[in-house]
Amino acid sequence: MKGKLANINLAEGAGFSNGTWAAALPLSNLTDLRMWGAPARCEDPTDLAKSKLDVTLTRSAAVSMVAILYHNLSINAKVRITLAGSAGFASPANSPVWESIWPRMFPSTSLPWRTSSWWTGRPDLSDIDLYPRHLWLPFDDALLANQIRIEIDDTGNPDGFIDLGFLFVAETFSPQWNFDFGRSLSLSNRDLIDETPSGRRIINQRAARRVHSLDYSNLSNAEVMRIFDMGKHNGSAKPILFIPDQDDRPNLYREAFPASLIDLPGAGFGLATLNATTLKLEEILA
Amino acid sequence: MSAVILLEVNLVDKNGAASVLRLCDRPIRPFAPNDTERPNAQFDDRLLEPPSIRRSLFADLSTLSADAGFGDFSASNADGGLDYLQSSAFGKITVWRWTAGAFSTAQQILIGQAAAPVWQIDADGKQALLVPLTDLRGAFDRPLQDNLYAGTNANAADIEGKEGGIKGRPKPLAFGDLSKAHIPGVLVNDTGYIWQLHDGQINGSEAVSERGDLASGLIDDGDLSSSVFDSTTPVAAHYQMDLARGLFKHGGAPGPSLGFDFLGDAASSYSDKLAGIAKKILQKAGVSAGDISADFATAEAAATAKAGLWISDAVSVIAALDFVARGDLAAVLPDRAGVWRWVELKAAGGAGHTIDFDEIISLEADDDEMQIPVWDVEVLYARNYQVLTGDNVAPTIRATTREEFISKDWRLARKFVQTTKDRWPGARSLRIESALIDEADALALAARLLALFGPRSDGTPKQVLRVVREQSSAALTVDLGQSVRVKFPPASIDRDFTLIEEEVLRPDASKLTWRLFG
Repeated sequence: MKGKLANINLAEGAGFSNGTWAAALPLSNLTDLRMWGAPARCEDPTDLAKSKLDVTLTRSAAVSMVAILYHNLSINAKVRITLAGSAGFASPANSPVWESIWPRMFPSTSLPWRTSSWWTGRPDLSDIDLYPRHLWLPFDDALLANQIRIEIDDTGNPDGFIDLGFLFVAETFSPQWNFDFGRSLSLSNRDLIDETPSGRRIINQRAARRVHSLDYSNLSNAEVMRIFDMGKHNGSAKPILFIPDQDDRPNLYREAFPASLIDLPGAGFGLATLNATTLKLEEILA
Repeated sequence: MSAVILLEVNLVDKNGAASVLRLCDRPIRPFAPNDTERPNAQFDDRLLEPPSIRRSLFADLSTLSADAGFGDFSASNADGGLDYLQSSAFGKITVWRWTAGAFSTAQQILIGQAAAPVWQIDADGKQALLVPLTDLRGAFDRPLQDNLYAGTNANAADIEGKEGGIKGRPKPLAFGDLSKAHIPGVLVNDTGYIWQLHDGQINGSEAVSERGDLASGLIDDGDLSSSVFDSTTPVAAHYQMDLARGLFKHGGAPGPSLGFDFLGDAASSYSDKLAGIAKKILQKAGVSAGDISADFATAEAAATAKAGLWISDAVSVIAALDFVARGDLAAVLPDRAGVWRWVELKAAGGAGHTIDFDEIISLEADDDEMQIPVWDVEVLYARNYQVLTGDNVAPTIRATTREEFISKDWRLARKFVQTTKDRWPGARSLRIESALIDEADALALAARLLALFGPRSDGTPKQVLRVVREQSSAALTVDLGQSVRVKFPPASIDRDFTLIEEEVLRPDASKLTWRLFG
């Protein structure tokens, strides 16, 4: 699968309705750039009528992915997405079904016998909680829609409430030729380390930042300019999504995260499809 | 993850509406909807420099004088996200250290008062908000007495003084045992011959002297109710009291230089102990009972030394507390939760907290005058509030101990160790004024000061250390005045010190800076 990029959030400026969400943490928080600290909160996830929301986009657009970032949905949560055009939710553009947000990731045969998740092939919470929780809901083909209904079934959420940090509705973009071999994923250590005269290290622990570095060397003029436009449109403030391989489920939660462009991408021009650019995508931690 | 620093600032906007600004130093999810203290509360992770206040037992240990603690915090305003607060007044600031779970598990580490915020704007740089703050003592650099004479006297029973006379002067405050203080009082009515000794109820036991002579022959007509006091006039050579208002009325024209000895403030109760007087001062300054720790009652119950204080001018709350507390080698200051404490400065020792070698991030000896041993201590006590000399002294008491008393403002109790002076020619002398009234108590205080500021028992001079250590929950259980054992082999240090100053969240959010003496 090719890497997917998305930089324009169709949810910006959208209207939000439906469900019952905390007055202090309303649905409008879904586009607040403080994803972790300012979520939309449903205080009663036991009632499915409360834990749903409708998004009315500012225009009809081709939607190929809905991403819910910095959520606290539990391992057993399910979600149902309905896309609709002007005909309304009675005539959806997709075939809405309830999906487990943490489906099978591993074939049982690849797991040691007696592993707690041997039968389900699902990750352990201890694995998931290494990273903030994000939900990626791609569609096989972009669907034209101006309304989206998101229903959440997480009645057993151990927190007793549901937080949705940020909503990214995207038409993803994948260049004809994928990024080059040699893509790197690294961790930028943000710990503050003091060394005492005794030699002991006293460490102020802070979340490490994931950083993707990747090159594209086979871009058409249109593709390289589209990536160039990303820098102009997003700057360092607006989030960018990059999913290296949507099908690589065991690693998706490690490799896919909302990111900022700290170094804005340029465009290197070569022959017709040999244009190049470099992306450095730094994880948004807040 | 390490602990999160949470901060709340009370705000009042231009329309008088109150709100709370909540900031933190790393991203956290809003507190749970069922959190008992902060349901759904969001903290904005834009703190750059976490708040700190340097809290000291004494601003100047050589004179045992106190001052408010000062500090600041800064928050990023690079995106202009705080601009909406520019018309708001910043008030109380509270800071917690929190790791996980309910807000109630957070450990309060600081409470203070914001000064005017500074909006840092730099066209070439990032915008930030800088908020200076003080501890709760900062609000007490104001006169203790805010009840002033109105200057509205119209007849002989009025007690507010006259225009051009005492109008605008603070009404006097009398605390504790002033039975040897020779208080001049404030003449509040010069036709009715009324003096005020205290703005409120006094305990009484008054004695009146003329020109220092206690055998004035004045006859006491007793304590009268306020209405009877106002409506009656004693006959010549008599006087009457209104203890409820701290008033004295003389029958007929008085002799010169009246002096009053009495027992002071008795509103709700009377106390002549230093801690008890300090508590009364805090109450007078408006501190609620819940914000005054039991330290005061404990110290008052344990004390034997008597003390007294009379204030007739614009003395600040801090100065009044400072003057009283030093008589017991103590400091009065708010703790990290904002509760006022009576903290005695004791020689380090006994079971206390230990900082091991591997917990010390940095250590340096502070170049402080306190390290020079003290060889000579003079404690001033038994203040005479009205000094009379020469012809102002009644002939009947000339060449007596009474004349000696009223001709000087202070008595002097002195203790010294000559061998200390011989060993350190530059050894310091200490001279402090106290609210004590008895010589034995003043001598005991001098001895305590000499022991505390003299050399150690092994003959080495004491040191002041500045230690930076990790800010942990354990470190935050230690408060000012407590004993701390420091183990630092590279400097051959393995001994007890007294914590005399702390700065939480400095040099950064994960550290704590202490000054230790011993």
